[in-house]
Amino acid sequence: MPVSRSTPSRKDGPAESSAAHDTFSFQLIGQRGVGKTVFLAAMGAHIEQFDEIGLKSADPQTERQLAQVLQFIRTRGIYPPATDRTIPFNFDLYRGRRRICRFRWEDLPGETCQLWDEGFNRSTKRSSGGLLFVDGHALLNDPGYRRNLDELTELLLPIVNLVKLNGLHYPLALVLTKCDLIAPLTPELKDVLRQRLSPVRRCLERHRSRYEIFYSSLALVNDGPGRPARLVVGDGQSALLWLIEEIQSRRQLPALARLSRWLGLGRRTPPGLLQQI
Amino acid sequence: MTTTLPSATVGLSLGQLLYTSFPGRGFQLVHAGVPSTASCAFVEQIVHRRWNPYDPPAPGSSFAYLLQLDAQQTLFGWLFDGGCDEHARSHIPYFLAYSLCGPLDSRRLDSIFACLHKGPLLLPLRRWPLTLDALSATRFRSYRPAAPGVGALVQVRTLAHSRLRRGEILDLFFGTPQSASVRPSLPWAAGGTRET
Repeated sequence: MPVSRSTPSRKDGPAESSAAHDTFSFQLIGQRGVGKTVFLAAMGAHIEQFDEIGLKSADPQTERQLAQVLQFIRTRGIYPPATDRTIPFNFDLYRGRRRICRFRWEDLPGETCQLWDEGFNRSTKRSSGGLLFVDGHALLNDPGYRRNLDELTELLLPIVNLVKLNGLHYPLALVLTKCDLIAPLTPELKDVLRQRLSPVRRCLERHRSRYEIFYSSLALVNDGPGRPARLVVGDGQSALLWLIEEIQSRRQLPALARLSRWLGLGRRTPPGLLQQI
Repeated sequence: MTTTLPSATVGLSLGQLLYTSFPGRGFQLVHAGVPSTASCAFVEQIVHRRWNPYDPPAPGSSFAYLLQLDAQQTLFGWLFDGGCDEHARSHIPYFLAYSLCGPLDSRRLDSIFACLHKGPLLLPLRRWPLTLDALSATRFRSYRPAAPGVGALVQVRTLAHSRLRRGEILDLFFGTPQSASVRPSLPWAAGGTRET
């Protein structure tokens, strides 16, 4: 198992360090090329737009990385290159000048998302919840993608086992990426996608894991030579907001309660809302 | 072009390192004839320092580097544009390096600069599994480069020699970012499979 708990009385997820009690880390699980980096960049840019609650890059490195990814997309009109190492992103929640808590996730190369990878296990151990990425376009159109689902399920199994055996709370957001390629995303199409996700869903349900499915649409629009490309984001932040809501529902942390109120959780952003970055 | 790594390196063998993305495997380091400390240093001190996946150089750019790990171990090589991976993502880095074991003197430094300018002996394909071999220095006496190299400016070479004389560790990275339209494409970029 990837995790050894140092504080067995706590039932709030595999997060290991009490020193980092105000840091909420989310583990990313996804294979190469599924779209983790572009999803994170879009989500980071989105949450930075919540000016009223002051969610900002926590360090110059995060600020620079976010700017670089978005600049790459805008100026070159293509999705970002492959990530070849683990790169952390930290965002701080501020109210006025007061820092309330920190959100952290790591952009992982897909090849490190393996049970035997030390770095992957370490970041799982530190996390309060996870985002599991599945290629929505391939799920719908590539019969061979079933093998990828089986690999993902194999990867999930020890994590959800740990959660179940220890009575932990570890919400998992299942993010179907590249949904702009299969638009329009009708209710019927969503049913088909949910059906095809059944190997993963069965694993989660068997272990009574908390999960929800999100449909990520990050369309790259090129308006012609010399003009910056646009990333049209459909409902990009819902997965993060759901994770926050899930953690707050169990842990009742004052910082998260305030955040929940400010973000209006429970009255989530209407699905299908499009924004441009 | 005539050769370079010659008399100063007779009897030596050079280790070989390649860091790039392989279809179905992703980023991997393959090496031969290189101590593990040197292969770790290659990834940490060259690859991670010189490659930013969020801000890669323009397609077609080539760079050269030289890093002295200590008095007995020197790494030198090239960073080429590796083209696209199997997910059609561009800007795949292709770090190819040689590892020279033994003290670095002025003649060897000149030989290394000449080799960097001329280009690599082999250009291993991004095909998994890949096995590399250590290279005998005699193979560098006369060879057709598998890809165009990167020349160092006179100022860079002069600076390197004066640092070497002062006993300072060398850590160089040079090259000119160029567009693909200016620089000829490497074999894989054109869909070819040349391995000299």
